[in-house]
Amino acid sequence: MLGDKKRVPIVEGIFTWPSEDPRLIAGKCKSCGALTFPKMPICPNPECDDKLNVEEVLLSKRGKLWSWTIQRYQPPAFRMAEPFKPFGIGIVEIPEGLRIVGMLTTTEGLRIGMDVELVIEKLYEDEEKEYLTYKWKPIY
Amino acid sequence: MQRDVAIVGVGLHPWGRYPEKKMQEMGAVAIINALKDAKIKWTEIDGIVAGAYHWDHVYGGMYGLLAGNALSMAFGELNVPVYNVANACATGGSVISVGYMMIASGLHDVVLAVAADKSGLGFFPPKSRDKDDVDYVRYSMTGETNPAYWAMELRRRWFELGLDEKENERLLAKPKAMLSEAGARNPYARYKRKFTIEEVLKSPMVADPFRLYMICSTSDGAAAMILTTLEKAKKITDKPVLIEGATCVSSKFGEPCTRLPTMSSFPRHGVPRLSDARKAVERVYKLSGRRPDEIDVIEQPDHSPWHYFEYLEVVLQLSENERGTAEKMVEKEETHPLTGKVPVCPSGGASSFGEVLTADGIMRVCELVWQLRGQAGERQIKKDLKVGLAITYGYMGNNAAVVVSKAW
Repeated sequence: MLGDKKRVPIVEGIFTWPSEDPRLIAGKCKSCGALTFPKMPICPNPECDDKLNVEEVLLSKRGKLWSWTIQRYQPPAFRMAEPFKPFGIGIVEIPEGLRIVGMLTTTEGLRIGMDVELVIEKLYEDEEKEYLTYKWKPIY
Repeated sequence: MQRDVAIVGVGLHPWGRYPEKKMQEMGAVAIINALKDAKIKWTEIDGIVAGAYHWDHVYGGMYGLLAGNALSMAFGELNVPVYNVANACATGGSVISVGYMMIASGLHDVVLAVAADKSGLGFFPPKSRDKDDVDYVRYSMTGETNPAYWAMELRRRWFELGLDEKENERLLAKPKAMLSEAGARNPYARYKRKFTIEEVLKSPMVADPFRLYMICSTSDGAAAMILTTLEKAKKITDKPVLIEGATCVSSKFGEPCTRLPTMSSFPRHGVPRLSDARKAVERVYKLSGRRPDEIDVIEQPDHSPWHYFEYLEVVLQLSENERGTAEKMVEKEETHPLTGKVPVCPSGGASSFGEVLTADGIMRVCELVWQLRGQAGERQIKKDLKVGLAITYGYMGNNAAVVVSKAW
């Protein structure tokens, strides 16, 4: 629509975008299956000699909240929407075996072990663009 | 052939905020104090190993990165090898490890190990805006501060231990309260007063369940030590402190902790939490031939309650079944820095000093030296001390550990 700002990831290559079903992008070794997030082109498994045979894979969008906290003060030099509001951060375990750090969509009702789902949200904007990051959203 | 290495001199610049002081100036004060303590002349030094500044993007520049050279130029260039070592929070311990190797190898006889840093200007926001810098990607997209990460680790630890956060809130405040009793007696500490549990629990929440006073601040400061062979040390001083072992260690593939500044972990079966710290401790026990029960005094990470509990159990090499022992020991004040059965951080810790990134690891060993020599003044541990262990915390799973003992 006219007047809508362009919506861009804060850093490209972390999740698929633009997409109707955005996913986190990981690297997976075709030989041993070792995963890297963010994606790296090298297999991180010291026992695997096939070092440069890594494919891009899209990660599951659902996981379990391994732990969480609420960031109560504005992180220094961190761009986000003003005025500052405390936000949730979590470590989420996904079925592939990765644990991933990310913001949470809420500060309420958080519980270790709860199911969460990946969403993409605006973190801040300027005159031209909206800047997006990935967040985990509790599924109650 | 490997030679025995001893510490003959230690010196600090006080920790705090010194915006008007150059890094080199603080370093010089620490060096002067160490040389005086060692009764060694500057010109006797045949090798230097220094903590490299990590803030060259924002302040310090090349003079911070090549800190050893900057300090040499300031103090008097000796035309000797200078190694600048950067291992994040494990830098201090790594500096000592390199110094130890320089002398043990037979290639050097008198080494200065030094670090000076202005961490007080704040260091955790990533300095680059480079998409290849995962630290920048992580921070800009998740806002994960250090306290937030540490809080998540503690929360998970207590979830697994079945410890209710509200019911055991005092336990989270206890390390700070205990440590402050030592800090209050340390002329080099930044916070030279006692903090009560009540005060800690009244301080604002920064990242649940951690409150402000549970988290160490960051400071400016410097620490230095003079290393030499044990043989030479015995001729110079009647209280040489032997370095029984020193090492740094990195993480193992499959490390479960989502260590800073990574965005993920890929836990593998059989790889323990804090694989870096566990291996550092294992190596240094092997090098020294010591067992955990032989350690009389410990200097370890105390940046947050998570560090305090988790690293204590690493140092004591407790099994997974024994997880939670640290909390029980804290409850009973068995780890009180001055009076505990297992005194932890008689310096007062990062809790009382604030963290000076590159120098912390050196300061901790300086404290062990003072304690072993009986020179810790009002914070002198009364029980008989023979062996001390210092261990650091570190980004990306860098960790350094040192075991020292009385060699008289």
